[in-house]
Amino acid sequence: MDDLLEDFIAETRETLEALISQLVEWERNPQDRELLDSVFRFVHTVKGSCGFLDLPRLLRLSHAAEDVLSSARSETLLASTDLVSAVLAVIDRISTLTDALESGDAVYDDDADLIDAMLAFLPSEAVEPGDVQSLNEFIEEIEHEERISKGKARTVRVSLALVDKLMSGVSDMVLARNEVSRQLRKAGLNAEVEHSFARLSASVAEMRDAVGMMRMQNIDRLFSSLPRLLRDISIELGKEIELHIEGSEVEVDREMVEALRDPLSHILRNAADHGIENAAERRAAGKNPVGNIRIVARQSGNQILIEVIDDGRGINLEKLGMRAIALKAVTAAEWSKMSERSQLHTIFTPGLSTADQVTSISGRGVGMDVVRTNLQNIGGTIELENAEGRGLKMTLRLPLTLSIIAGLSVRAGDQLFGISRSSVVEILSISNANVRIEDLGGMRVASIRGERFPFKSLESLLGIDEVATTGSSRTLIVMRPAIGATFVLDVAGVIDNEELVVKPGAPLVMASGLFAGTSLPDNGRPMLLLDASGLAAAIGVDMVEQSDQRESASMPSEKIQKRPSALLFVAMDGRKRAIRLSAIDRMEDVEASQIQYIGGKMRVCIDGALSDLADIDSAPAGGLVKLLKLTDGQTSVYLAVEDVLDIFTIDAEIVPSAFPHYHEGVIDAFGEPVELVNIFQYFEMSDTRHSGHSAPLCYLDCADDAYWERSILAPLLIASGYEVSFDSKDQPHAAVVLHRDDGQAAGDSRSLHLRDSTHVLPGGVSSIYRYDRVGLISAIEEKLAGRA
Amino acid sequence: MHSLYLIAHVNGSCIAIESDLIESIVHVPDVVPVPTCDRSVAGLFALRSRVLTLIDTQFLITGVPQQAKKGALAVIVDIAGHQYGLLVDKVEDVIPVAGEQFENNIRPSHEWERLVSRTASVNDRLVMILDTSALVGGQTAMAA
Repeated sequence: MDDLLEDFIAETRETLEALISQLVEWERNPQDRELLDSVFRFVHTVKGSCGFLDLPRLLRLSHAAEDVLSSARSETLLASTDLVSAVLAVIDRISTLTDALESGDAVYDDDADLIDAMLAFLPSEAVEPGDVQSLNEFIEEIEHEERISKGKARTVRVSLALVDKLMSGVSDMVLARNEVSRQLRKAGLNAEVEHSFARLSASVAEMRDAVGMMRMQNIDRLFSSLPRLLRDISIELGKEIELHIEGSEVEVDREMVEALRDPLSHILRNAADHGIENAAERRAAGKNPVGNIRIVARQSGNQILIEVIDDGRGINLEKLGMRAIALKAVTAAEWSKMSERSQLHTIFTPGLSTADQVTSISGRGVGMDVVRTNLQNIGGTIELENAEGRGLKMTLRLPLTLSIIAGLSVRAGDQLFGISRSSVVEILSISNANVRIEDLGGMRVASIRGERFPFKSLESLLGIDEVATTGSSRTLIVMRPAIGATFVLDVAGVIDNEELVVKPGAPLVMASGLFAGTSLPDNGRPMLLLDASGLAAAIGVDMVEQSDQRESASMPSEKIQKRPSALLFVAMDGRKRAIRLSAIDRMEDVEASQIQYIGGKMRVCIDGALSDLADIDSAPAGGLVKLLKLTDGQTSVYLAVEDVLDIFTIDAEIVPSAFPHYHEGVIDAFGEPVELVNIFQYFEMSDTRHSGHSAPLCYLDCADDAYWERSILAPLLIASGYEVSFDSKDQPHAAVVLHRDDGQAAGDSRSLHLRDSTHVLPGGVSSIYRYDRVGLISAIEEKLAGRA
Repeated sequence: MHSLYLIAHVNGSCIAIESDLIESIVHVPDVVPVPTCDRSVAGLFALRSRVLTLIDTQFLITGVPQQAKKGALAVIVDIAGHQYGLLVDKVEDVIPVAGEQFENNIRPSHEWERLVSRTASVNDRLVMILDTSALVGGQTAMAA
């Protein structure tokens, strides 16, 4: 019996979640039979189960709701807002009672009032409890349900504990596999064992992915409650608001759905209350009197983006500033110096609200700060895009799962630490010419491209000894934590880029605030995950001030970054040169065997296609060759380089070159003059097949068995970049018509005569000796030019 | 009423840990130190796919950190939802201790007092029963 009851509770709750949005939809489209059917089906199922499980209160409620809904179905009753409200009240009560069943709480019994309120909508003759009609309905219903359930994917209900157990079991398996792999490598390889091990590895990886998927849930579970929420708010506020939801199919971690529920409904509430104006105001502003809120979810890499876009009044920065100053969150002088972005972000200040009056829905100034904190707790961020008078767009960025982060492992001393990649802005070598370390009264400051950041080594933060490494220089990581200012962390090296499973750390370990948890990477040695915000606090920068300074300081440097960048490389002749970054599509390492001298030039075969390869004279004997793929938008050519060094901004003047064909000029790269390669040269000789323009069509007027035209002339023309046709149907639209010998069709301006003799034909007909290749091609070009 | 206790040795003294709390006894693999942490934490170690915190029990008593070597013996316990390894010198046996065996008048020495909930006489000798939650509270209270 207990099992049955549990199943009933779980099932009712699940169906309820899915149903809520349909009810609201139904209110908008009372005629929609399908929506009505599904609401009815729910109530009907509850009623059936209640009778069976002996739950009289639920039975009475569901029975009454069923009556009303069946009248609506038989069209003796039309759905109205009031009717839907009454039905919703009953369904809410069903949900409360279901929860109470589980918790054992008592719920005050005023069910009769709710039922009366609902039954009042029924036309008087229909109020006959348990009428005969319901049996027929019941049969029809069962048939209907059978029809529907066929298409659905079959599911089973599994307890969370079991899923978690499975998850940790699979993790164990992965570690065991890694251990075996290590042992195998030690013991020496046996092709057969290796083969079976690869198969085992593949299936373990597949299984890990599948178990990961089990934790995923459709984000619709989060969104399904929103239409109802918005409906209730808009009725209370007396505003008409439409809600559009896109991307319900996006999958997120189960825990994420729970963690997002509150922040998202808070944002929606704010948008409806403060954002959307009332109908009169909207009309005066020339907007559609019905407000519009869009919620869009999508997956972007390993992040989930949720955008909440309203077309309301947006945020009035002046008003916000006055509030913030009145609240003493900022001073008037500070406010005037802040960037628009940081001004906008003051809405996250606790206690601040721009609403003129406090409503029951929002405006008490508790909210946006809580929303942001909640998001940060799950590793998310929130961004605002304000268009005053036209609306506000909020973008929530969330990690795909809570338990797996994209991480970097870094070395400090002789230990490895993990960092979440989401807080890393940039990684550069300390020997990079763009980096300068300044000393400011004992405190060290890193200056990167003119921007200054607080700077500390990870070893000194953690109080461990630096281990001197020879050969490699230390690495700087520019980090922007969720809370706090950007800073630079100096580590002994960045080791790897890996997916890290986050495990909570014991309170003793977490006490220092520097760690976000622990992780067990593939090498089987535990690793501590660093908390970016904690590190920022440990570096001891004054957070709020610092962030504003940084933003105002970053303004001019952003402009500098708009200048063209160039890549410094070592050319095949061993000299350093620079090339404009915009022309580079990507870098590739290819095997020497892919390169060959064929068809008069160096070519490289990549993925089965031949491309031109510049700056290399002969294929190297072996090993890998670094190539830059250059593109002009249509064609690509490859440029062989010895090595790639660094990227820099072309700040200074370009000194003209004596050979403009090869070099655009000479520029300064990290204090030494280098030639800036002229990209043009690589494309002028490149093959024209991919140029995107259709080749001019030459029609060859000849007999079907004309050997010379077909075997000698046609290949020459094709090689010179023309299209060739022997089909007389192509003659009318050909660019050039080629004839041999005689002078027919002399009236056609497109025709060109080829003669067998080296001597000019009598009769003044212009013609060309058929083996005069240069003359022939230039004559065709003349014809083409004349036609154009 | 009988409860089962594991008898182990820490810093040469005989202690008892309630067996319900104990998950297993292992030789710890590689120990990864935790910088800036309370000194009673000897480090982290991996047990299957879990990461556990290793507690330097000897440090809590003597104030002298123990060199947590690979292969050291640790008792795995679950305290307040987290798993810890308690470093011990050696383990003896699991024995039942009945209510009448508890000694109410005998208090342990000053160093042990904070870590021991009570003492009992087992097989004609006294053992101190560890208060496991005090073990993971850090050494801050100890300093006083």
